[in-house]
Amino acid sequence: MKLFLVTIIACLAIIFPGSESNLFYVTTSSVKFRSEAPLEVISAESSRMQGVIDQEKRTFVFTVLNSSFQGFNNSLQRVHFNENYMESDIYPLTSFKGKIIEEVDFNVPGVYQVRAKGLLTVHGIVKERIIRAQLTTGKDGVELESNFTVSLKDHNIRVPKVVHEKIASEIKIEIKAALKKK
Amino acid sequence: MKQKFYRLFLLYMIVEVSSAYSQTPFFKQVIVNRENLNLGFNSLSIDTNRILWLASTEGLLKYNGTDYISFALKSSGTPDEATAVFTDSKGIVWTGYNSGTIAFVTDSGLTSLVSEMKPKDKITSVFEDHNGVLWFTTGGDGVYIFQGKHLRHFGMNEGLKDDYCYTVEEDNTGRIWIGTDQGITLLIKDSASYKVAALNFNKQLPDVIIRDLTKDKNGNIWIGLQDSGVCRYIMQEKRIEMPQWSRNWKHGPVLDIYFNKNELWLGTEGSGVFYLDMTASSSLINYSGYGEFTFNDIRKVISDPEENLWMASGTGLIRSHSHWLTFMNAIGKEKINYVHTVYCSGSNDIYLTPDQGLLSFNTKGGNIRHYTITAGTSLIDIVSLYEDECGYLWVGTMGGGLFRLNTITGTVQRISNPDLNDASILSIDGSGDEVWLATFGGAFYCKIKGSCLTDKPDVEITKLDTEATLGNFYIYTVFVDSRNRVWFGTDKKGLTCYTNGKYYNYSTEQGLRSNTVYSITEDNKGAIWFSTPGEGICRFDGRTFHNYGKAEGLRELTITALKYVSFDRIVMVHKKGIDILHTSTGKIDFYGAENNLSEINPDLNSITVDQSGSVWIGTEKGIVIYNPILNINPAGPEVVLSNVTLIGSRHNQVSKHEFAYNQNSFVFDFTGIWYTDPARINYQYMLEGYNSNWISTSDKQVVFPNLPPGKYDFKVRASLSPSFTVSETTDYSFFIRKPAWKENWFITSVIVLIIIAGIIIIRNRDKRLKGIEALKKESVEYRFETLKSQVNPHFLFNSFNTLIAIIEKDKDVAIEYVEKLSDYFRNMIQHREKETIMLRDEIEMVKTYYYLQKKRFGEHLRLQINLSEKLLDSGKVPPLSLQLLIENAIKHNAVSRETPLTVEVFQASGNAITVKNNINVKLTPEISTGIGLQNIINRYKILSTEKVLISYDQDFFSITIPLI
Repeated sequence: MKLFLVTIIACLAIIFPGSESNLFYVTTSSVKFRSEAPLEVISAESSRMQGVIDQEKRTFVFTVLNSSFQGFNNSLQRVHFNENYMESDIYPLTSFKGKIIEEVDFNVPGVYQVRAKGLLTVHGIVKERIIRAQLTTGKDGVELESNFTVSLKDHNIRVPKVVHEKIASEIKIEIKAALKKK
Repeated sequence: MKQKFYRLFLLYMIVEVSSAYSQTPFFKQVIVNRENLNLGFNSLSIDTNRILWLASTEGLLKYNGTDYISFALKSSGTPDEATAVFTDSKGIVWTGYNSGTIAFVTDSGLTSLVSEMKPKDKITSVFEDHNGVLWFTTGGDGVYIFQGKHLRHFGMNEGLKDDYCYTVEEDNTGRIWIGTDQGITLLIKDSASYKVAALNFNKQLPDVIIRDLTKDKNGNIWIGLQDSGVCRYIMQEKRIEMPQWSRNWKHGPVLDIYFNKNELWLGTEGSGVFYLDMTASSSLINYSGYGEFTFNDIRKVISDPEENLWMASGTGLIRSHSHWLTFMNAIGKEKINYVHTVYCSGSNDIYLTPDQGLLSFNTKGGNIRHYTITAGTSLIDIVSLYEDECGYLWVGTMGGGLFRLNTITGTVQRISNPDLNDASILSIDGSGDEVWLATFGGAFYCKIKGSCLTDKPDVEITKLDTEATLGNFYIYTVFVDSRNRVWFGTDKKGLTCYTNGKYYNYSTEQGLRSNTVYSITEDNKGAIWFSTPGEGICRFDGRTFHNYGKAEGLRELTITALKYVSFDRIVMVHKKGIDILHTSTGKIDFYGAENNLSEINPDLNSITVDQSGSVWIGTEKGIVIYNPILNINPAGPEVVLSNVTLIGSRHNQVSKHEFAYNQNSFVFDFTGIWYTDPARINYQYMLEGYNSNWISTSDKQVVFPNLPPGKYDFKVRASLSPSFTVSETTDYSFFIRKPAWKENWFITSVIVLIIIAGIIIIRNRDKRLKGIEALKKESVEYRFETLKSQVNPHFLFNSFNTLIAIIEKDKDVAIEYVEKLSDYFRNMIQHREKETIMLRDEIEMVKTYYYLQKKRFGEHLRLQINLSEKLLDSGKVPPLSLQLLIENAIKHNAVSRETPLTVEVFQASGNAITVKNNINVKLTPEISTGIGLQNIINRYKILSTEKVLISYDQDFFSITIPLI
């Protein structure tokens, strides 16, 4: 898995060439998902999201390993999450890469409401999405916050009828991250 | 007691503050492919033949309302998602794919556009400007421009605001508008190319993501936005304006803006479709389903020539009859069922009577008023309504008598009469102070004495006692026409007219099909139309009755109610739905189950027309509103001959009209288009020149194998009624040539050729016979000549001289010489009759001859035979031919010590033998008869195809004869 991450970072470096000073890298992150079904609420969190924003081109890539999610109701649930639904051995990564629509001046401290448009890959299915996010720029870097939902159907994640009441069809995602220049 | 009973009719009115009534168009999900119910649609287009083209998640589909054809690009294995489809001004259908591929449809199928450039991202839209230039927008790779031959790219490097583009539009000044993720880019034509024009309003846009651009009929550009609804650019004022209804937009991205005449439709990603009537300053109406069926994610909206609305949705294809056929099934949350009567008053208020209630609303909007009519404690079914000249509403009930309602105060007064108090009032009509009633207990005449502007008028009621003309019991309807004649529809006595104090009765004897009449109406020419149970409808122009039944195209013969409405139409209602007769053409449209109108079970007084011309129909399931103005040209099903295929050929032959005799098996594919109710199209075809009658079919294909030569005209027609009274016909005429051998010119020329050939053959035969004759003569001459030469005195003389010389010297040699001489003559006699002899035999003879001559010339004559053994046994020559050649050599050359003669016989190249000798010119040349050599040449002409070759120079003479 480490090799995998190294590869991704290498890829990022290829995708984002140019001057290093333009790039903000994720330093700390939190990706939470929450499924609110009538019979059960499931939530889990990963703090291992990787990502980079190019402030000049306003492009970005974020990616998280599915196997890094923790905090399920029980350990079996985590196994199900990885094996039955996300199929993490085939599709280990969830990623979002694209472009920020709104103009953001990263050099001026402030709060920006932006729309990030790009390709969201979950369970190997790529969907074009426009996701709202809040960027708070400061001297130390950028803080990112975003809440959105992912539809299981859109990403071809099949839930057996037996557990239909236990898993929501729309999963709520909450992301917080801090990014800094290297 | 009676007094008390009357007082029980305490009548009151409730004004309910409920939301205004709402009419909902019927939306139906159209299943294109039953095997793939999850098919999503990105866009759709309608071509010049009215056929729908759908850009689906499974690629491009062609759809005629009932069947689809899937188009796949040959190169790709898995179906690529079609993301855009467009019909250009030449009628060519273009499609774009998720992969960036662009393709177009021709007679031979789908062809991908091959150019030096290929878009790298999905095609989001296709547009054609007024110059015929095609514009393809892509999701991430800018715009591609196609000007007939090459694709040209226009991207951020050229000044495009963003490479993610959604839409293209052209304004009235010829500028090209491109909607991107970063606002609008304007392009102007710059000689052969385009350049970015200055744009000052991008900053005014409430949102930078431009999902759609659409020009309205005033030339203003409407802009669909990702998050802020819709705004428009006013061309004259050069500014952006936000419509009131679009402020605080909460309905998600606007994916499509579509104008249909005065209607604006907006397709949105999350909230279905929005509708705005542009003529009225009304508010935006949202539709996201009908009944159980719900939809959102509307990506494209278009209308067809039948004024149906089609919508491409991520979850399916949706069809609607838009606002020409709408439904009102509830007011607020209250369902409206069992509507017996609908009535439009002079002030354009609609009164309707759902299940024992009575309510009204104004068609312009406003609150709904509820009235309650009770007989004692129980509610009664209201079955007839009529507004008198003072604006009071007469209310006829089922078994509860007659009432008169002050619609302003809600006060209700029973019109009391012993015959009417518990009567069933089926129909009320009148004019001025006269009102006529049709009841289950006969017909009544009411006269309002004094002013009618009172809640308690003095009404004089008379029962019409006309047993002979009306019957005494059931009168279904009463109708006062424009000439103040009163028409009664009776149960067993047919149609009765009361005018100038006299009754005129019409029954089956006068040409009616039924003696029971349910409903009566009058057209604008003054003709009376009436409906019957079981016998359709009938038109009476004052003299004759004209009946309309199944043959004329009626779907149902028990017509409960009918009404003449605008655009010369008769609206008829029955339990299966609605038939609409176009009186000018005789065409009958039917709207039934496919149009949400099955088992509606309407009542006798269930049709009314409001002042705008809309037809309101009360049914068991609620109110149906048919708007003829929005459905002006429902031209019946049009039939399209989509394919004419010659069996054995892949290509469509429509453009060809003449065929060879063996191109005589045809397949005709045709399609009738009637999206309103596609399954109900009937087809008939006829191949003129082959069939003599129309043949009915439900197939959309006919095959004619092995047609004899001749002139044909294939005709196909489609109609909604099985009787084909009104139908569109499409035809295709063609000609199959006779086979060449049946053509007169061919037969003539063949005869001429035979004659010529005969002549030639006869002549040739003559020639050949003459030739054979000549050859025979030649042969005889040759033999004679050879014989003559062999026995010529010189030869004998020389031979004897030689013999004398030898005898003196050597007796043994002399004997041998005589023996050889004898051999020589025997061989000659033995072989001369033959055509050919073996080379070996000939060589033997030559050797004998040489022996004889050698004795005469000694060492001065040399013969060198150089032939292989194999050749000697394989080849044949004419007898005496080689000998003759050697003889010739001796004959024509001097043979002496000074000039020895050498004759060589050897194999020439190929299968031939050369006889070669040196030339020793004789002082006294031998006279040549020429017969010998010429004879050999002539013989070879018949014996072999090879020729005899003669060559000579100063020193050598050689002759080559082929072996046979």
